[in-house]
Amino acid sequence: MKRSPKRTAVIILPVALFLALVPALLEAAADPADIVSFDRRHFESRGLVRDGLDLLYEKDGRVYAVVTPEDIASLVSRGVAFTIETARLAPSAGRTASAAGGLNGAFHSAYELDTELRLLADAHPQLVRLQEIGTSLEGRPIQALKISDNPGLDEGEPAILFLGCHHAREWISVEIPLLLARHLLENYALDPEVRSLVDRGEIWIVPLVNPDGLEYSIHVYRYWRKNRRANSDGTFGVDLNRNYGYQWGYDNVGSSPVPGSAVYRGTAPFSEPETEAVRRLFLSRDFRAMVSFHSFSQLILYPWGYVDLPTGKEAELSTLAHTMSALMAAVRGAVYVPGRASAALYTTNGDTADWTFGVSGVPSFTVELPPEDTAGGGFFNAEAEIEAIFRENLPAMLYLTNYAFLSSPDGGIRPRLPGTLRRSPPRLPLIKRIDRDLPSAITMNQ
Amino acid sequence: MRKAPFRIVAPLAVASLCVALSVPASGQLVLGQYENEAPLATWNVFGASTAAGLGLGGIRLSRAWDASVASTNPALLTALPRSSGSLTGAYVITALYRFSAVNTGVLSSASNFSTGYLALESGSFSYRFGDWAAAFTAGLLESYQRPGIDQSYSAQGLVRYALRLEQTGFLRGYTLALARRFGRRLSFGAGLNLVRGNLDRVLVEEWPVEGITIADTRAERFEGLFLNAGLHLALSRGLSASLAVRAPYSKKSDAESLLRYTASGGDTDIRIEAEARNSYRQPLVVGAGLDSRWSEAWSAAAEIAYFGWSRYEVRYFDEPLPRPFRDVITAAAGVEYSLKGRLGARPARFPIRLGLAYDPQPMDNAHSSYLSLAFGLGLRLGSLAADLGGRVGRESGSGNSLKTGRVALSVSWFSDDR
Ligand SMILES: [Zn+2]
Repeated sequence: MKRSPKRTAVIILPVALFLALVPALLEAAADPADIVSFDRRHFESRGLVRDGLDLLYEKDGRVYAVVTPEDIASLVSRGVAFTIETARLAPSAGRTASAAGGLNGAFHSAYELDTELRLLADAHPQLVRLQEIGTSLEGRPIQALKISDNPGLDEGEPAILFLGCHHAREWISVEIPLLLARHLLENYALDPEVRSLVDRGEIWIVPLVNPDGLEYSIHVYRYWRKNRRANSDGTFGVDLNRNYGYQWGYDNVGSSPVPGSAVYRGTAPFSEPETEAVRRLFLSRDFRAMVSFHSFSQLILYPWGYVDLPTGKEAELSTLAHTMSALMAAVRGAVYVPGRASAALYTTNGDTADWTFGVSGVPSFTVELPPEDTAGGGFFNAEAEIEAIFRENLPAMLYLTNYAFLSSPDGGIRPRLPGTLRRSPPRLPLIKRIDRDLPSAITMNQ
Repeated sequence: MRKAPFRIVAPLAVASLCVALSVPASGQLVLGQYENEAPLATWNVFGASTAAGLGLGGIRLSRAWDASVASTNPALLTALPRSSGSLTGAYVITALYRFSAVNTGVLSSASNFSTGYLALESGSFSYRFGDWAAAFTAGLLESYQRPGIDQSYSAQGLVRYALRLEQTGFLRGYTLALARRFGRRLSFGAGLNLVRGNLDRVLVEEWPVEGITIADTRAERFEGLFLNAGLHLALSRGLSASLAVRAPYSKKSDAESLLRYTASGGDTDIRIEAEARNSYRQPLVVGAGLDSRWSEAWSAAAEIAYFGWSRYEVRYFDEPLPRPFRDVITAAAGVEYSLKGRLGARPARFPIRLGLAYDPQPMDNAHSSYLSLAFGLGLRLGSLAADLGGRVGRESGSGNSLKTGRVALSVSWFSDDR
């Protein structure tokens, strides 16, 4: 983790020093947008509320805000002692301060994610727009990042969608799409491949589809899976990955009509505001591919899930999945087994990938992130693994994005494999399961 | 406080045995009354309680029962004899339905749980010198205990899965108060209060066959400092009015958390550890009461108290927790009839008390409130007093008809006859 020493400018002002200090401070804060922190009491007592600072969040009694040089001058004139945090907080290779600590450690809670997304959006206004695509049952925002060269304009560019955390306990599935967003934004200026993708299309990232479930998983019960719908029979939760509208409720094997079930599909397709938000977003843009991150098992699954039959694009989906798997394995040898979702032990109906493929025919994948099994951690990942898991997913995600932007809606151009791929695809075992549940026959009523 | 030996664990049904019984609230992360930090029985805690006050429904700031009034209305200290001391013990039992992982989606029960404790709740003494009076009170203010859950599932003679959920904790308050009488009618008093306590919670799941354990352990150590103050005004020979205030304050805690996954098969040990300074912004409390004595035998008292819960704020492990609360006003009233008699050769009085209390809870999503009936008996014998009080309440609004009961016994000593 890279942490440059924080530039500290602590000013307690005798009026006489004021004029002398201002120029130096303005220089110190020369970036058009700096992040500073100051004591919360100053926020209340020195009229800072009225200043309309771009407040980010509050932590350990300090308020964090994005400031312009004028804002800094204003802080100085009010005698507010502040610390410039830009270097410390700037998104970089490590984990950010907004997710550090707390019950969930380096993983993001809904609150931490909101903060981080605002930081990202504020830091890269030319490349990203933060959009609230819906609201959860308990009123939390469901946020999407649109990453593109002119994010405020509708340029009619092809788009790709990355989704995270339909299932509350799959904390790692928030981190991978979020890190993908950061990677794209931070490397736009440095990496021609990233720049090309961002210029040519729209990359939409929704790191957290199920904020209510995630909060329950952090605060109450770690292995909670569904959203927080209060069902009519006193049980809780709808499995958001069984609530999509394509072949919803096709049978009672791939989803359940029983509210207490872990795979309860809800009372109707898109009955849940969380899936409805994804539906509206997906239908509003020209999406050419979709990836929904889950954990665990290390799988790359493609439609159909609801029935054990190939789609009309089996060859294309299979090739893509195998290619992505090979790209992932090339990073550090982790094998993500590609395969048709229904080829597992059981089918799934009403899931995201079947619906996006069913309504649009675009390549749609469920990526089950590490570990491979419960012995390796189940729905737990070590904090230190987050970055590595992202790194091994990155080439595959960039590859798929490029593929999506090159393809016409009816499927035309095929990109060649990137030159970085030196290995031949690994030999792959049979898929054993999807999105496996608790490691025994018992499932608590979720 | 002793951990209740009689902890009752109502029948639990895991998963598929879930019984459709509850009336679910809308926002589910907001548990309602029993958030983890919620005191057992009621959110509306204001100072130490006495057995005599309990018998009148919960009169705590308008009559000078004993030195423990320092924690509610210290102005009343000037109405006590030159010196006094008292001890109060209580037995509390309370029903809960929804708390933590219970009846919120993980574990379901067909009926309410009960939990309770037996404790020496408060001890206090006071001393008056001329127009001035001082007192010290130590009391158990809040309990965070929850029914313990210990569930397991076996198949073919082997335990396949086990879940254990435990939460314990308490908050103790210490008040140092000073009061002064101004003329014959008016008294004023103020107190400095220190609170300390803890909250420990653990949720452990085990899959013994696979050798997997998930443990979520959290511990908090509370502390807080606040002021309280009160007025007492004699309106006429038989009627007095009181006003009391508890300043809002932050109950802070040093908190630690460890979330751990171990799997022996893969030598996997994943830990997420955290430390934080949590804070719970406690509300302003303003109380007002009347105490009326119609004759030597008959008297009555009534009180209301405002709790500014709409400004309640929790920062927990560096994040604000949603607590959609509203302000509430509690009320209590009771009558006392004091029988004259003798105990042995000595003259004695035997007060008999009856009271009512209304105690609305602050959750905005379910307007839940307790209505309680109280009774009490007392003995005044020379410089000694003993009181027994009881109160039973029934809740409406949550859909679970929660009940609560409290029995308290106070023994007091006064330096001269009252
Ligand atoms: Zn999942």
